[in-house]
Formats: sequence, structure tokens, C-alpha cells
Amino acid sequence: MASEELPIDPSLWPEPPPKEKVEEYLAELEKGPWPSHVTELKKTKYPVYIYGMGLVAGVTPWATSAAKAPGIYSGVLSRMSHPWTRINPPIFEDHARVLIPSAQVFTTTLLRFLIEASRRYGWGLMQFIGGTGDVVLNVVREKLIELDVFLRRIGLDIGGSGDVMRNTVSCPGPLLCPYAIYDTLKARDFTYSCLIDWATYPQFPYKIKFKYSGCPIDCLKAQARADYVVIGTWRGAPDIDNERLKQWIEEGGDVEELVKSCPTGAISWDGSRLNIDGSKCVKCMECIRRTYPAIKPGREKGLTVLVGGTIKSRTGPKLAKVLIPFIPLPSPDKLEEALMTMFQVIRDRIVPKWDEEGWRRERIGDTLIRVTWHRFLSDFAKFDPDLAAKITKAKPTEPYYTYGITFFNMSEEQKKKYLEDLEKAMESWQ
Amino acid sequence: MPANTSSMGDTADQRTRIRIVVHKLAFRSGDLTPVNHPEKLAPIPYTNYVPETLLRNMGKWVKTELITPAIVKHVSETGEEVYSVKVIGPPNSRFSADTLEKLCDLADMYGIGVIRPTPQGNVEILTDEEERARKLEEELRKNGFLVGGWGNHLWNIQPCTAYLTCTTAVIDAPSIAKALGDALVEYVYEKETPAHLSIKVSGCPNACGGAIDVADVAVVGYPAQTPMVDDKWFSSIGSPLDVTAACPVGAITPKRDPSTGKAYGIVIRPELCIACGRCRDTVDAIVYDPKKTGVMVLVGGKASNTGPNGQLMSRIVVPYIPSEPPRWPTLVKVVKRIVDTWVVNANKGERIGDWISRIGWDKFFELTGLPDVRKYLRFSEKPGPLYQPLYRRRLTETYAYLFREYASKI
Repeated sequence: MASEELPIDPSLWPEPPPKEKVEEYLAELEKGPWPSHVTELKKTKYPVYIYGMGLVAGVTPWATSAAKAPGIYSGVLSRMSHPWTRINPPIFEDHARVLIPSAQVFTTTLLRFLIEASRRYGWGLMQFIGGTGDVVLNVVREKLIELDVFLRRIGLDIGGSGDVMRNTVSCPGPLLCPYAIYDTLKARDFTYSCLIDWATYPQFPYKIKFKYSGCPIDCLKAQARADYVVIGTWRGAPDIDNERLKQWIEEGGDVEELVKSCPTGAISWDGSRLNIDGSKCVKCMECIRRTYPAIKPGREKGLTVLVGGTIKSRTGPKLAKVLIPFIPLPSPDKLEEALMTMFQVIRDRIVPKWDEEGWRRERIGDTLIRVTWHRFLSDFAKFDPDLAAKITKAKPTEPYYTYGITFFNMSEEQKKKYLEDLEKAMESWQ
Repeated sequence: MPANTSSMGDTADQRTRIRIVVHKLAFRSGDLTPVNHPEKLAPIPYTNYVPETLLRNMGKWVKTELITPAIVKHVSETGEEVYSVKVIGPPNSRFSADTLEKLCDLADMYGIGVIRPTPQGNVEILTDEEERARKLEEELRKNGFLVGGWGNHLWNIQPCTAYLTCTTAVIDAPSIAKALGDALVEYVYEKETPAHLSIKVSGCPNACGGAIDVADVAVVGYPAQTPMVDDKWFSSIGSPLDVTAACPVGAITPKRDPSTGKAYGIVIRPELCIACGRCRDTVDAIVYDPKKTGVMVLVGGKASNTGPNGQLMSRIVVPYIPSEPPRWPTLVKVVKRIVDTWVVNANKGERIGDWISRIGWDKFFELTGLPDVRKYLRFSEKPGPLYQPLYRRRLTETYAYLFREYASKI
């Protein structure tokens, strides 16, 4: 393609870098003990040279494109090589997000089918798995529908991109972890079946994410990444099994250390009996992690629902806020009922209102900040006005965090001085 | 249900027992894409995918124990044991079909035929005997995989996709992850850290590379400049009103054709811009000068409710390091310094956030030898986003002007 025909203004974009330089950069990334993505990409049909071009130029080598996939409204993303790379005809990079079984449990039988799919319909490459909890499979554009049929046949589906309800992620929960308070895997399946229309058609101002964490340890980092977060919790003190505790002490467990480790001083030991003050317990799981199964999560189990944690959004990263402090979960088979209680607030009140009032590309966390927490509680969640006022006045539990002035806003001299200081500091290290 | 087939007789323990693992697979039948019915299909319940060994012990686990940094043992009430062997995947968990097939073979031969990828980019292979687990670990290492990362070790470095497919990335993240990994690889298996360490790398402030705001160490691509607009390209692909709406500080105004009044382009006012990258998110025709882009480093966040502090959000400790692909020497040096200092000085069980809360930020900068960033950046103690409470700044443009003026004087 001659430069006059380029759709872009060539003076603003980099020139395609020389071949030797690209190869040098790529070779550099194959060295060292850590697994290399370049080595891995070279085993596939991925055009790794384009990646190298971007690396040398310092500008992404991909531009937005669109693939036609009738019947698939979400889950397919398309790229083409950027005009500045001068690759003619452009190379297309299409990939599909594959929704996988709960807790990412893959039997090898299923995985072999997926590998077969990626060889037959794609480049033999996949992201296993992406941060959203789905497998990202590179596809050849013409074979997209065939891939969809193949995946549906083996029980999977394509989905989870655009302004829809994205893939829901749950921690492994009861499948592998002793601390899980409810069946996170079941909750995930249930959410998807209940809200399948949300997952199909792009219809919202921006994406919606649900994440399910089994206990307050929150391995998924759900509070920071999802719009609606469900965390398993309990009321009052953890449950102490004295027999097992005795056994734990006999096996060399240090009770003094255990008492000291409690951040709020809720644990007391009178020489023969351990006591935990339920009103002081902040559910940090420290004692449980040390002594399990002698100390277990309390008997009065339930779910906490949080709202509005995001990173990628208008107002920057934020942690989720507690929306419903406690939904009782008296027995595991009452999980669906407990989730329905949550859906009554989220599905029937908050999301329709957000759909109406939210700005484009604004997640619920941003809307919440824009309309204020109090109005969110009374207008969006339609809580009783007294309750909303009470919740608003309660001491915020979020941690401190923020930056007033960023590097970008500093003056040129300040910037220069900082970088000099940094360089000076680094000289003193070995 | 995995079936053991061993016909080795007396020399059974000398040979590798080979077992054939057959799992049920939930097939869907009939027409899968009926006309006028394009909805997604309801998921097949997870119980159809989980092998019986796990299903039997669901919710009955009583104990988790670290055998080696690569093997974790789960003990059930019923006495059954499951071992999970952890393999650290390549940056951005990009697996080729060949590599995955190799993992499948190993999982069949030594495991119960289950592979669990995690959102952090690791792969866990499950097995049911300690001997097999150890053998699997050895075999994985022989095949060139990096194993380890359970317990008090480096769990993984999780980068976003960046230049591999992303259209908005400012800098490349997988190459940073690779460079950092090479420098910190000893913390995966040989050397122990005081507590769990996970590192996240993102190519731009959108931070798809995982929760950078609650990561122990996070590296974020930072444009550090007001973007330029490629007018020629914008006129064919961009929608001025969309981009105007995306700007959180109102720094973008549409460029209008004087005769028709129709908007055909945009103008970005450098005096208002905060370099958040939201416009680049919306349209490709926004250009960053690669010579000015860089990364910033945040430390000390965690999402879990553990320790004396509960959840913590990370704070910027290095606001800018110029980009130096492909090996990022300065960045690697800084991150290694932070991690090494933490390893030497922290108590056992203290994550970076808890450690800093105990010793204080003054001590942190003293110990690491990094320049005290608080002299340069202005911090506030109120909860809020990464770049200042933007929603407040939207109030008036005058306010933003004043802010900019004030900032230049500090």
C-alpha cells in the first residue's frame, strides 16, 4: 500500500521498524528461565512478527475490526493489523471468548475437544484462561459459525463481550477449599440460567459482572473487579470444636500465638477454654486458617452482597461497597432462595434504573459515585428512606487510598528532578 | 471415574503405571442454532464436568497442606486425598495447542485427568496419590515447565494482553511480565517469601491485567502525555460525541464544520487533560508519542480480609519510568528492589500491604532507597480513584484550570 493511500496520517504514527530489530527483540524475549510467550506463539499460526513490530515501535500493532457472526451477539472480538504496520492485505486476528464450566474444572476429555477446536477452526492458540475467567480462542474468521456449533455441541458456548452480562466467575469453593461457606459453583450456574437474556444481547450502558467468592479471603479479588459481588460470611463468632482444638494443641499448636494473631483481640484463653467474642470478630479468618477444622466459620451462615467495584471505568479503580450486609443461608439447599433475594434488588430495581440513568460507558460503580451513595440506595436500590439514611451515615469501611496529583500533572522541572533522584537512588543498589 | 490398569506384577513400583482416564462429556444434541432463536444456551450444570473423586468430597475438605512449593494436598473428611500440582503458564497464559496437549497427556498419566486453569494464569493438575504428584512435578520440570508458586512464594505475574491483541494498550505488558519473571524466578520455588506475593502488569490504566488496585505489586502502563488526534483517520472511524462523552474531565470538545455545524473531529485541550486514556479506549485514532510513554509502580494492595488491616488499596510508589522494551531494565531493578526489601524485613505472614502499614511509608522509602514520592505527588487520605476524584473535577472547567495552575506551582 502506498503511503498516500493509508487511511491514517503517517506523520503521527511510527514507521515500520527494520526486520533485524524486530527479530532481535523477539529473540531477547525467548531467553531466561521464565516461560516465554514468544516461544509459545511460535508454535502456532499467530503472526508473531506483528507483535515484534509493535514492541520495537512502542505502539500497539492492532486496530479495531469487525467480524460478521450472525446469531452470536456477544463473545467475538476482531482485530486487524494497524495501518501503520503497512501490511497489505491486512492480517485479521479474531478471537472468541468461550464460556467454560464453573470453577474452571476441565477434564482432559473436554480440554482435548477444545484443543481440537482451536486446531480445526483457529490458530492452535488460546489464552487459558483470561482474567474474566473464559478461554480466549483465536479463530479464523470464516470458520466462526462452525466453531460456535462445535462448542455448543460439547456443552460450551461463546459469550461475554460487549455491553452484556459478562462471564460470571466463582472461586473453586467447596470443590477444593475447606473454607467455602456456600456452593459458589452452583451460584454461578444459577446466575447464568436466570439472566441468560442479559448475557445474550448487548443492551446496557456498559458491562455487568457478577463474581462469587466463597469466604472473606476473596481469592478472586472480586471486590475490586466485579459490579455485583457475593461473599460468603457468617454472623457472630467462629464455631469452636473443643475436641479438635484439644487435639490441635496436643499436636503442637501454639494457643498464645493464636490469641495474639487476632487483630481485634476477640480471642481469649483461660488455660483450658478458648472464647471468641462474636461482636469483636471482623471475619479475617486468621484463627480459622491456623487451626481448621478446630475453628470453623460460624453456624449462622449467609451472603454479603457488594456493589460497584471496578478498575476500568470513568472514575478509576475503586472497591465495592456493601449493599446487602447479610442474607441468611440456613442450609445449602436454600442457596437459590438467597440468590433470588439478591436478584430482587439487582435485577428488578438497580439494573433497570441504571439502564435508564447511566451514561454511556459508565459502570454501576461510577453511577453510584455520580448520583451519591444515598440517592443510589433510595432511588436505585429502593431501600426504605430511613434505612438508606442510616447506611449512608454509617462509618465507611473502605480503606484510604488516593493520589491528588499524578506524575502527568507535575511541572517539567519536577519530573526531571524525580527521574534524577530515582537514578541516583538506583546507583546505590547493587 | 478413572480406572487403574496395572499389570506389572512384582516390578510394579519400578515401572510407571499407566492408567486410562475416561471422563463423561456432556454433549448437546439436535439443532444448536435454530432460526429466530439466537439466545445463548443454558449452561450444563457443573456436576456434569466434575469427576467423581471431587464430587464425592464436595464441601467435606478438612485440611490443606503444603508438600512442596509445587504441590498442595487436600484432605477430605472421608480420608480421601487430592493433590494439586501447580504449573506457571507463559505470560498472558498463552498456551499453544501442542503445549496443552502435553499437559493433558501428563494429567492423564499421573493425575485424575483434571486440569484447572486459574484466572492468575496458572494451571493446576489434580492427582490422588502423593507419589504420583511428586512424579508429576518431576516430569513437568523435565518437560520444561515452570512449577511452584504455592504458599509463601511468588504465585504468578499476571499481565494483560497488550500488544498481542489489544488496540488500546499504551505499553506492552507480556514482555514486562517475562522480564520481571526472569528476575524473580527464584521466589517461585527455591526462596521463600514472607507471605503470598502476586504481581500484576497492565498495559494501560484500564488495567485488564487483574486487580492492580489490590495487587501486592502492580505495574501499569501510563501515557504521561496529552494524546494527539489523527484527524484524517478520525473522520472515517470516530464518533466525536462518543469521545466527548467518554472524557471524565471535559477536556474534549467536538470540532465542527462552520458551514453545516456538523461535528467531524475533536480537539483535546492539554491544560485540562489528565492522561487517563479513556478517549483512546473509545476510538483508535488517538495517538501517543512512544518516546513519552512509561510505566508506574503501585504496591501494597490486597483484596482479602486477612491480617490486621483487611482490604487495602495499592499506592503509587514510582510514578514514572520511561518505557524500555524488550527487557525493561530500570523497572525490573525497581520491582526486584521492592520485593527483596520486603523479603528481608517483613515478619512471617505479612503481605506487602500489611508490612507497610506496620512500618509506615517513611520507613518504606528509607528501606527501599526509592525517592519519597510524596514529595512530588500530592496524596489525600480520602478514598477515591487512581487519578483524583474526577467526578468532582467535572463540575466546572474553571476548577480544572485552577487545579492545573496550582499543580504547576508545587
